[in-house]
Amino acid sequence: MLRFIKHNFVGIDGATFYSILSLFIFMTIFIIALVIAIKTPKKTIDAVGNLPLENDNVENNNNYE
Amino acid sequence: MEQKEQFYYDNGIVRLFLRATIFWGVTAMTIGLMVAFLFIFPTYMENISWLSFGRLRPLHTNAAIFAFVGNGFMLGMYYSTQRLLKTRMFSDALSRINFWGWQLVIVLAAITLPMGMNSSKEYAELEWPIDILITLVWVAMGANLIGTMIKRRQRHIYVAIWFYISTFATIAVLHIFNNLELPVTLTKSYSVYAGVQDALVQWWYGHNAVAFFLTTPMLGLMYYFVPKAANRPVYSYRLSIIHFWSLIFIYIWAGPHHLLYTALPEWIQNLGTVFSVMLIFPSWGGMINGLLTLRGAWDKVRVDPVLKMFVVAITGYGMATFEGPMLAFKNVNAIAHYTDWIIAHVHIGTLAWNGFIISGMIYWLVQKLYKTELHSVKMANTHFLIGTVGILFYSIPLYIAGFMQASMWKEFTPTGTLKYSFVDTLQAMAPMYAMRAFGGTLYLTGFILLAINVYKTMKKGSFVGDELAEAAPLPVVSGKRAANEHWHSWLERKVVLFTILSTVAILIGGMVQIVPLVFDSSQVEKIATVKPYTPLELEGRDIYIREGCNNCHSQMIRPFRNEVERYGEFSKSGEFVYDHPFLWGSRRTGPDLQREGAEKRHKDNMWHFRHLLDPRSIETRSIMPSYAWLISDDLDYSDLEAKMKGLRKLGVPYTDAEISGAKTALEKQAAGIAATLEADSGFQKEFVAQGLEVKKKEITAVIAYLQRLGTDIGKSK
Repeated sequence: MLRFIKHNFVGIDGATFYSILSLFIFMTIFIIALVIAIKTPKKTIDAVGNLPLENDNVENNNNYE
Repeated sequence: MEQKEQFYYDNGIVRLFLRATIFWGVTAMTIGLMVAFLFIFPTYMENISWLSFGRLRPLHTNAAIFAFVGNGFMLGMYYSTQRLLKTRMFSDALSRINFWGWQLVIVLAAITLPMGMNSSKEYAELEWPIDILITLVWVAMGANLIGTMIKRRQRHIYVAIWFYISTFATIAVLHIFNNLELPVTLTKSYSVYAGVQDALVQWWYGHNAVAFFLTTPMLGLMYYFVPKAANRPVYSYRLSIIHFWSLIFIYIWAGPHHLLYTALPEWIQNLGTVFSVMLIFPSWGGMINGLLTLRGAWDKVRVDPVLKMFVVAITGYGMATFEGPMLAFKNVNAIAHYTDWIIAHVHIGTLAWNGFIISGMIYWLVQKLYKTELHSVKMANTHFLIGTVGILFYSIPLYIAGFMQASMWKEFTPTGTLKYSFVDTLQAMAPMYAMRAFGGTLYLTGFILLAINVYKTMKKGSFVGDELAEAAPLPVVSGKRAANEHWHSWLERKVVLFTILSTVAILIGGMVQIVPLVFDSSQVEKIATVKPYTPLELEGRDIYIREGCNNCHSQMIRPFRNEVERYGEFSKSGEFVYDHPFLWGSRRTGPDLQREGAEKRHKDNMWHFRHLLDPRSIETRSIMPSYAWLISDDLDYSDLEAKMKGLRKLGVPYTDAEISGAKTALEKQAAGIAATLEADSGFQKEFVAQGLEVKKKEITAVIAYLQRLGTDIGKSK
């Protein structure tokens, strides 16, 4: 039943190559992100994580904060 | 301590987007409700061509995605970017161009889509001049965003802004590549890709529009507004770094899960499945990060409507991103694809995740912008309650409907014939569709309460258009990495480089999947008997696109026993080589039409004529719209030669003789179809005697196209 589609994936050189390549690229990116996340000093992490909470303005009429 | 500089945040642009978000939210949901009611009362807008389902459905999806969520994203982005970077936006003019340009795009969409001007590609239906306008407006937004990052007073760039940047960069790439089309007239174009390639590019776009228009911008909003509303920092900033890079990288590969079991090469389908399953990790990482930000603040969640909405939004995100990978498994997809399950799935995403994060943000923002408290917390809590119940009423019946459809479509009698006709399965859905419309009504009512509440809050507060703020300027440092500087911090500093790298991350996936298919001709089998459409069929196909038939009818038979039994031989990639654009569809509210002209499905011309004029005269339980205007309107084929020449440029082998003789050939084929109809004495009495010259009418073209569908492959037997 799959006779018309079959050769699409047996016929292509490197069907496996593409899959392995993509997993390899992803693992690389993931490991780099992981290393960045772990190695960033706690001081920086805390400072950046608190950015949204910094006071937004200096207006006197903003008592709602 | 350095001298602080004083400057003003631009709240005017935020207010513009706030109003637009609410206005378009109400509009998009109202149109959604209009089409939901068509499932229960199929004739209530009958014979108004521009209000037929096929034209309204794209309007609903475009309005919900680009008008409601789009404006909501820009609303939050313009507010948070200025504050996170401690500066006014780079250019007030660009801000206004972004706002008014975007509204112009929406208005043009609201005019052209009901008129039937569309390219048929889901969530990219708008025709080429509007596509160009979108590109310009989007670039204005991106330039403004990057410009603001360059002139910032804050060294570090918070993760929300990375999400905004990746949204900008990726949507730009997706929009341009999916909308590469050859214009024939001002309102008509053909996709440069055909068939399988077009399908892959479209779903690479479609999937990633969900990723980078409905997810990453909302995650940016989550990372800013959830900490803001809870008054505590995000649970783990380290996790957000991993979340960002792995999410944007993995998302882009998952598109082919929209095309499982189709004629797409299987290695691409498998790659799509693998990455879709992997996607659960970053998605849930982000969800957990969002929810745990509220740790220790649950007492506040009980009373604060803003936080309540955020909790349901993030939970909805978690549900949708659990369901997504599950749906990408081939065996689950075999059940869910083409059914209402998918409609339920996407509405968990839009109603819960997008709708509630935007609503919560609006409740929070309006108080800040107008320096006052919310007009009515009780009203907001009511919105939360009926909105949440609305989501459940919307989705649960459709999940059930999805399973029912799949099982009824697949059920055989002991003697080996299909147990249910298509319309049997449709009729069984009626109660689910009624409940869905009820759920939608609740959700819209909740959102109208928001509109009233916001309006009243605006009335009692005082708006400050330019809000004074102060911050120390950023000291000038070398472009190179400082001695003790972590290199990700350095990378964040290099805004343009950061943008390029995140674009590269998303491009890799698209490249690996799309390039081999487009450039390696062995990927699509050749079938010698597959020929280009005749001039009349081509015009008929363009009417099929105009009417949005592909919103309810697929043209892609999967290799399953029940589908082959119901619709005929399963689809082959080589059958679509002249289809600019492809019309595989994604939902079967009606039956598949790929072999509508072939043996098993074939009906005579009179059947099609009567069915298009009044579907219920053939099948009383049908919910298809009547297309009476195809019979009253003359076929306009003045652009025929230009269309054929355009298609020839794209690789459809029309000869010079075929093009120059196209009009004659068209008239001849139309006259042939008219003759078969006029041979009927009933037709004579009912139509010819009333002066109907059917050979000149649009319906002959549509009949010609439908009769051609799926017949080429039979010639090889």
